[in-house]
Amino acid sequence: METFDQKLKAEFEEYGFHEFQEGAETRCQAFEVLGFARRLKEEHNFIFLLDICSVDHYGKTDSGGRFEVIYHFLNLEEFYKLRLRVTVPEDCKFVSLNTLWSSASMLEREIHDMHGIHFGAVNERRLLNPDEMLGHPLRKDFKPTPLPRISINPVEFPVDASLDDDQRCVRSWINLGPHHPVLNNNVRVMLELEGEFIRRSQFEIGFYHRGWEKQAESFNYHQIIALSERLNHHGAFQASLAWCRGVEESTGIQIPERAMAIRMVFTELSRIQDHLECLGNCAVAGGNEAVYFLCQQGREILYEIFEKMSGYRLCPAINRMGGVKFDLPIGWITDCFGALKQIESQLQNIDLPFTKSAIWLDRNKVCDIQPHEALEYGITGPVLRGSGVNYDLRKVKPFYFYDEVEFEIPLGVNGQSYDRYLVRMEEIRQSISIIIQVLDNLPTGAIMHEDYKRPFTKLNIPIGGFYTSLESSNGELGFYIESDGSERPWRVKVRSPSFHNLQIFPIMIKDRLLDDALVAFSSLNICPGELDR
Amino acid sequence: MILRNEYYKAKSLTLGIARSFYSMSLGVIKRMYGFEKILTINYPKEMYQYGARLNGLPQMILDQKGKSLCTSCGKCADICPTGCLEIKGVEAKEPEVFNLDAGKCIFCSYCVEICEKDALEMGREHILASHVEESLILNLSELKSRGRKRL
Repeated sequence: METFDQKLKAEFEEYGFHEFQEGAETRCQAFEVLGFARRLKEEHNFIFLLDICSVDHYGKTDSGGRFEVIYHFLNLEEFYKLRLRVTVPEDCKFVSLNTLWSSASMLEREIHDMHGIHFGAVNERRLLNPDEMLGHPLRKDFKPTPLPRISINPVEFPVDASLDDDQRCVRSWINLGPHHPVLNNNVRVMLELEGEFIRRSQFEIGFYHRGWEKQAESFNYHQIIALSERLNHHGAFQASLAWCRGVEESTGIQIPERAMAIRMVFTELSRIQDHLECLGNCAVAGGNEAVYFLCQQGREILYEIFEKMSGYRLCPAINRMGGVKFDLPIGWITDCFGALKQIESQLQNIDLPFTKSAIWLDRNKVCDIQPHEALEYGITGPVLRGSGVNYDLRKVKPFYFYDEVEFEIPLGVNGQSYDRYLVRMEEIRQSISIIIQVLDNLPTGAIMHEDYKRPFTKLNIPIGGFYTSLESSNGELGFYIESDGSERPWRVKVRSPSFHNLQIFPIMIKDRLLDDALVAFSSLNICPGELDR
Repeated sequence: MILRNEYYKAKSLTLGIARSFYSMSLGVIKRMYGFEKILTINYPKEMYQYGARLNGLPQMILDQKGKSLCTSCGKCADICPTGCLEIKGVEAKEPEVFNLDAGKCIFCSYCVEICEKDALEMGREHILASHVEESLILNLSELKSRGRKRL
């Protein structure tokens, strides 16, 4: 019986495969990309487009062209990742993949915005940067020029030819955001309404864009730990863990067992923290502000636990390359058990007015996401599991002790806001059970790798590209690191779950009430720092 | 684990009203008779009690004569993610210029960890709001006056 790996390699023999972390890597020409991707999707079940990333090889003589576009495809059944590298000269034009995966269009727009690679006229609007900007900021020879006054374009929809004049007259255009009390995000949603019903919508992002990826190129690998915690401040530890794991895996550092356990505990605590934030936002959108304060109380309990351990309330900055900075203080484990007990009782308080309540059910049984839509748009995390797709990186590809602890993955039935609420509630309970299991069997020993005890030791990252991902509270959070062997990364790309999860929003709210849109938006849990980077 | 079907069925109206009355009266009784502690604090009068590991603004460690232990190697300025430290001076001597911009500092403690001479430590001061931006930039003499003498 030949394995999937061998079968794939025999099929695409002419391209030449070589191994990388959990799959294979190959190259092809720019004109072949669409055909290659179609074969992958239709014949080999690569139904998931993880990420598209672009790299500028400015000043490197050995590369074939100036730019490189890197696709990550995923086969969900076999959990097989395929990385496709395409080298292109400066003025090459690509074929867009948005006919195969809907999520491709926003990723390609970002690449055009950042690197100036053309993907066809549809995707040539700026995404994260303002329209007035000159040049493409992630190019290595980019020189910033002072921006003129940034203008915000008025709402504009293309004319719908299927409507007659009378129908067109009753439609009105409004703005939702960028500063809206319920969206609590810097996202601008433009709506075309017919009475109270949303007929068409589009969104604009980039109001919180801080140039994370450009900034990361000027930092060394250690400094990016501090930077990564600023991506999603509600679950800050997860991003720094994803970054540290990425660097450690590419360098081959084996961290001690006790450090693994401490990292696991803090990941799950961060997950609870982010889920509580999301549940609170859902409550506000649904008109129940009392529950919002219950959620905030739960987060306050976690902040105290973080503060006792690390000295910070929001971002527990204890990750270092090769381990963790501190050991657990004396008495911390007892405090943590106490806090978890309080959170469990807080969950019952949230359960009481919400679960099975007629008002909350009516309010939330809206805006369903079908599983095939979710996969098409590259959605991960509780939103995908709310639609009933069983994909959780903690189960599929367990790291640290996730294969030894017992936990279950809650799956929704209808893919509605209510399912997402239930999935999040159940995930908090499962996280609590994981933390208790890990703390009960906490390994003893060192917390730092022997060679990295001196802080900020120089790392030897091999030349090449590395992609590591992690199941964060919003979905798959991944870092693609392109290294040139120096102490600073050549290029860092964040595969941020919020960026992918937002793309389905216009589909979700089509022909829905305006109030439903707010409930649906809060249930997606979009974090602005992660979305705009 | 697929979520149980009964989660998706609404409670009956009578049960719902009864449950909400129950939870409301329970909350009132708990608060009135003090079964549940009050979660807020009376902020400016009482302060929150932080743990031993609280990280505030970095402070200098001085020797017995009141001189800084810093040898102007500049490693802390290199590792600082926000670039809030500015150090000028001759190697192996006390620096001539040592500016710490408290407006930029994120209390990440990288400078403390990398210092081989233990010339810096994390203080506990973290409420640093000011009306004047210039007053947030602390120079060498100000840092020395805030510093702690080595035991």
